[in-house]
Amino acid sequence: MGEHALRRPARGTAQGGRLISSRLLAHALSTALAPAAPAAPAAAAAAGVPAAQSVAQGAAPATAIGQPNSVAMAFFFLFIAITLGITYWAAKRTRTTEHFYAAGRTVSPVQNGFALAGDYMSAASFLGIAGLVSTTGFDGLIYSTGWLVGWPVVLFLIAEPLRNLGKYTFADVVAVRLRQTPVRLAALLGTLSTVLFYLIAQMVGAGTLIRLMFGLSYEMAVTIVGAAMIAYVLFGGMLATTWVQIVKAGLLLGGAATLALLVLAKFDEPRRALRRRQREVRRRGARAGQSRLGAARHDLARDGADVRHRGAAAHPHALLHGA
Amino acid sequence: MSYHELHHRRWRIAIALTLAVAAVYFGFIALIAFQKELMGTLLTRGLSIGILLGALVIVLSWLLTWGYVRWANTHYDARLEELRKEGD
Repeated sequence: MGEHALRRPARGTAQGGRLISSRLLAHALSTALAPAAPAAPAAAAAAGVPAAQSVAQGAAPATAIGQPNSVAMAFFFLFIAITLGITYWAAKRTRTTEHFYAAGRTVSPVQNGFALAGDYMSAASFLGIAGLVSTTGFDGLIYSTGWLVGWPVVLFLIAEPLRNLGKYTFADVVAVRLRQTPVRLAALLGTLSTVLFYLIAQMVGAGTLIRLMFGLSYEMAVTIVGAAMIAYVLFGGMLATTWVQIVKAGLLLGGAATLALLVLAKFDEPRRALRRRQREVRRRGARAGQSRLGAARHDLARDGADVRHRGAAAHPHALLHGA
Repeated sequence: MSYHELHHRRWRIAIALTLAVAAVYFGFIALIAFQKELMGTLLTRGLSIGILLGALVIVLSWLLTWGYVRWANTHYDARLEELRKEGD
């Protein structure tokens, strides 16, 4: 698409300039935290408990998982340092409400696309789906559709009104024609309950992952990740979260491609060896019953669909997309 | 087209597209929930109907988004711009 914006910015609608009040900060925090899941570590975090648990149970005695690992720690702190550097850079450029919520509308469509990709490859989708596929077979892939499907809905119903009204949050839009206090309270409750469910899963994933990688205590891991996420959003606003997500998307895309190549390289004759492996897996799958998705998981899928739709609506980058 | 007509047309399109996305997605989830055997049928080795439909749900989301963005960029924004100029 090059320089061509997906949606051109509306003219004469931006009304930035007000100083950021504490209310705005609090609201931004509540809506922005979810997508700000720190790149690699957080992403991994999201990975999901089942994968982490199976690793811990299956391989704990024979591997270094759960033991402090200096290489992993060095990468983790390097990443934290880089992202905090981005936040410092962004904080110096964030002066108005429009800067804080919409990065001053300076984010190009391609940059925003990468940031959205970073949102999409959160711990839940990247690690969680990998974990689901490893435990339930390809049935686990159904989860990846729900995340994506939520985004067009956000574009159709929320992003355009935000853009046309020159507002930055869902509450601002619905409050335009209605009484402020009840509308904002309702929006606050909806946002916080959605974000809570979303964030708890992300934080559990992050805490578990970091504990497994570094041997830190779970509480310490959650505290470090939480502090980093709050710093990105609170000080750097949308500019920092966008760039942190861009870095994260690059790392994840590069890492996943490298992993795929390494897996292929591990087999001398890739296709035959892979097919042999597939047959083994299928035999195991057949023993467990044809469809390995149990009834309980279907309930999970239905509940998950609803939460995911609303979760996507809380993503600032998805909203910025239309701004 | 007046601003109100434009506004209503945008909402009609947005709601129709949203309903389309919801119907496709929840239809897919309902098939998984109630038609497990069908979804597990292999079309060819390594590709079940379920996986194929899941991929199609994603492709359809792309297409609907593309269609909306195209309409909004060429029609909606252009008409909005004209209306703004008329208002000046």
